[in-house]
Amino acid sequence: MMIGTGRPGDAAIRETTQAVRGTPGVLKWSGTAILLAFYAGMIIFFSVVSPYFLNVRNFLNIGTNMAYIGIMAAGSTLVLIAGGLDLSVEAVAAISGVIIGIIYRAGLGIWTGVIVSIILGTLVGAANGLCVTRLKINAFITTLGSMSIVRGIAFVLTGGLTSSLLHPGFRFIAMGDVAGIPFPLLMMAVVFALAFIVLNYMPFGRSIYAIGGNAEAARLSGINIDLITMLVYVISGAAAAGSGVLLTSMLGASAPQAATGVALTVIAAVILGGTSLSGGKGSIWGTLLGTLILGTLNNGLVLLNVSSFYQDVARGAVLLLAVALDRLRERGAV
Amino acid sequence: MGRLAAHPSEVTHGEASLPLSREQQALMVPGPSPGISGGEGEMVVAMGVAARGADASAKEKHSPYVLEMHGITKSFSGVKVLDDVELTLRRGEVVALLGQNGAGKSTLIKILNGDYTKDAGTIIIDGMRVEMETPRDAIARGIRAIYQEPNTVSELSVAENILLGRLPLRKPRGSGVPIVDYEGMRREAMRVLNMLDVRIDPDVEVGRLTVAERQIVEIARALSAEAKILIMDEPTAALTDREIKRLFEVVEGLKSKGVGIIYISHRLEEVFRIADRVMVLRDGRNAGIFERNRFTHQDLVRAMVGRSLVQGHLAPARPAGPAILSVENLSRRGCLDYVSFQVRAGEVVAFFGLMGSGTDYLAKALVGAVPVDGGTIAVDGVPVHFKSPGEAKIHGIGLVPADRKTEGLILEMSVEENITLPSMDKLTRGGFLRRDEKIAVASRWVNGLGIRCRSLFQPARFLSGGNQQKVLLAKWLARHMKVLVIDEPTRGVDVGAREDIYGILKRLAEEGMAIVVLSSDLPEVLRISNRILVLYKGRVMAEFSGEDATQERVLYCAMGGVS
Repeated sequence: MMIGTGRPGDAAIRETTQAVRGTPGVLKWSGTAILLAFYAGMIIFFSVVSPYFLNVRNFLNIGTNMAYIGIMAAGSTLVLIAGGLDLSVEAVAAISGVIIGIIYRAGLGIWTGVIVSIILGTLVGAANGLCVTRLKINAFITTLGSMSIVRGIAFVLTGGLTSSLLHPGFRFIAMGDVAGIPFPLLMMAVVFALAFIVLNYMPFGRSIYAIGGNAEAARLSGINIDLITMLVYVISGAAAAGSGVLLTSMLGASAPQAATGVALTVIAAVILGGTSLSGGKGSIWGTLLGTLILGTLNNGLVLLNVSSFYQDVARGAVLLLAVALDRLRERGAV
Repeated sequence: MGRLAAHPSEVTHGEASLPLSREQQALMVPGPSPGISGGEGEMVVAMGVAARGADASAKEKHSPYVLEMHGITKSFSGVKVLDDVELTLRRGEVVALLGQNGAGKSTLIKILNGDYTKDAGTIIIDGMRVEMETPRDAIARGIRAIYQEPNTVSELSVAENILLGRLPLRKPRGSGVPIVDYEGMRREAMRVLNMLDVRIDPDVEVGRLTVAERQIVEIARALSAEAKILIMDEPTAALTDREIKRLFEVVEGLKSKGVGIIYISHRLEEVFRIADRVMVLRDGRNAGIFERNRFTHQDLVRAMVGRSLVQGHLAPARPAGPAILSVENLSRRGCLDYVSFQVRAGEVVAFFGLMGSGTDYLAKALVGAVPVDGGTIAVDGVPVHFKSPGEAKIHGIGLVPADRKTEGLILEMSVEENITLPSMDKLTRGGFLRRDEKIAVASRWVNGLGIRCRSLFQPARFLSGGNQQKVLLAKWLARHMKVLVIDEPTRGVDVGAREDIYGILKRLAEEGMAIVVLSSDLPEVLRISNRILVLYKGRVMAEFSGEDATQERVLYCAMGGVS
């Protein structure tokens, strides 16, 4: 094209372009810096007040205990960036355990159960996606409904009873380790790495940001917003089912009431990590940090023998404090 | 008003449309403001409808005008948009306000509404000089506005909408707590609906009414609040001919009740039907006031156009290429009326249409962003079918929408990402985005179009309007489209960037692209296009080639005149 020749501003623009080329936007820490400082402060505090806090084993513990939340949060990060919400994750995790139990007891093998439960998770996600894109039902209501339906089915299938699930290979998911690193931690690391790659290096991931930022502009740019939105819920459903497999292994039982109330913790972790509830903004690093902060807080308070009632209070306070700091930062006050 | 007197709690908590109590009005009387040179002995008072004193009513009789606006002047960041404008309105009179886009109509109305404050000039209502600081002041003085899109609450009943913010209250026997007086509300709603001689059930939810009926509910609301001045801004754009007839009957009824009406429309036929006087604005100044039966279509159009010259023609050289885009009988009930046209390679075809003409719908229909009832689109002579902008993109048609901020850009995303958004699928290797390639593409277009930004990674939000517009062009250029559809290419863009954009369009056409521009900016259309198609009520009314188009002829057709 002939456009693109000799304009006065060209040189200057090229220079600035060169200058910023080395720092891709995906590695920007400015948003998470405050959160990181917050986390560091928390670690210092617990190290000072508890002698059991600061050691490698305890930190591996924190990671292991939080892994199932983290996996759901990674999926939810995609959903929230796209401007949606997924409350059904906790019920999907619960029904995964129930399905694994049923299939195992039917003699079809534990791994068949794992695969079927993950397929079921994607189907629930697809149903959520269809309600949101085709029927235009608000995401909150859609997933509130599917949460209730899926949880209800989990109770129906089990008659409300928890049954133990002992299988040495399956036990490895929660208890095993690879070269000293707990398997749940590896699982979470893989999920986060995948989410990072998808969000930053694939057209699909960038489209998620575009849809959350301005759905109409994304649509007029030729992005298939219904398909992308649909896929985001499918991924969230699959992540929740995977998280349910881990949780079931941790509990050593399939329990229809498992993970009750966890959806709100998951959303808290994502929001704490700086993802906007109105979509378009957020990062997977933030979610990782948000998950770790909530996990560390829990762990520290347990070590200090603080009653679990106070732990709820502390979690809520930390969420509000971190988000408030972020808002102040955006307005340039901090 | 009597039994509808506002309860004190409403005054503090209700919405803006409630009448004020005497105490409140007393508080709101502004002192002589330094910016306004009040003449000696001239009263500067703020007066509401409900609390007009005896003196005021006596004085009212002297002035034949319900509204006088004198010497109204207003600038935005140094640019004068209104310069010494006069407007008068008698009781029971309809004054049509005409003018091209940017002539200052909406600014004048917003000053009257209290949305903007004037820099200089006086506003006199019923012979009393008043200051309009907020929309609340305007409502308190009996000014109401009705727009193309009715401003009603769908979930509430007709009666509640009519009395919104002024719900009548009653205290049940034995309790001091006032509750809503539904009977009184219904009675008042019936009273005004009967005055307008319309049959709308006051108990039905407004959401179930048609647009035309909702406008009538708004008129009823104004009547119930004893409005003296009614502003109707393009009220007929979304109405059928029968509904328009009905609306005009209601307007006649209002006139007979002494309400003064300011009527804004782009349709000459309507102006001739209901206006007692026509006031034309041009470039922020009065360009003529015409009495009923003393003017022709030509007079009005000439006043609107004036003698402003179309500077430097910028259309591409005579295109001789084959037809790239062929559109046959594109139609959509109420929006598009069998629109057919062709655009050749190297040609800029402009659609000129005023508000409500359907240009916005046509632009979106050309890329499958809105549904159509019928018609065919062919690219390079091959019929194509698409139902979404994503599919249109595959066939080489892209749209630059009219509203940059809400439809064009992802404001939080970087310049680089916005530019490469439609081409991401072409910038991958093995499913992964090629970051260097993306940056190179964006960089090429940032340089090529002269987009001013601090870096490629600066969020698009921080760019000026002109640069944002260039980013939107770059989006499609980076993908090498065959057809570019551009809705309002320079709306809200400064003069320098405007020339840049015209230059870019010309060069793109000369490189073989087919360009469709849709615009309500008359000089723009005349300057940049090879051919002009005039759209009115969704129909192509006339076609001009670059040479035989004049501002008068194009505007006349766009206002419903027959060429």
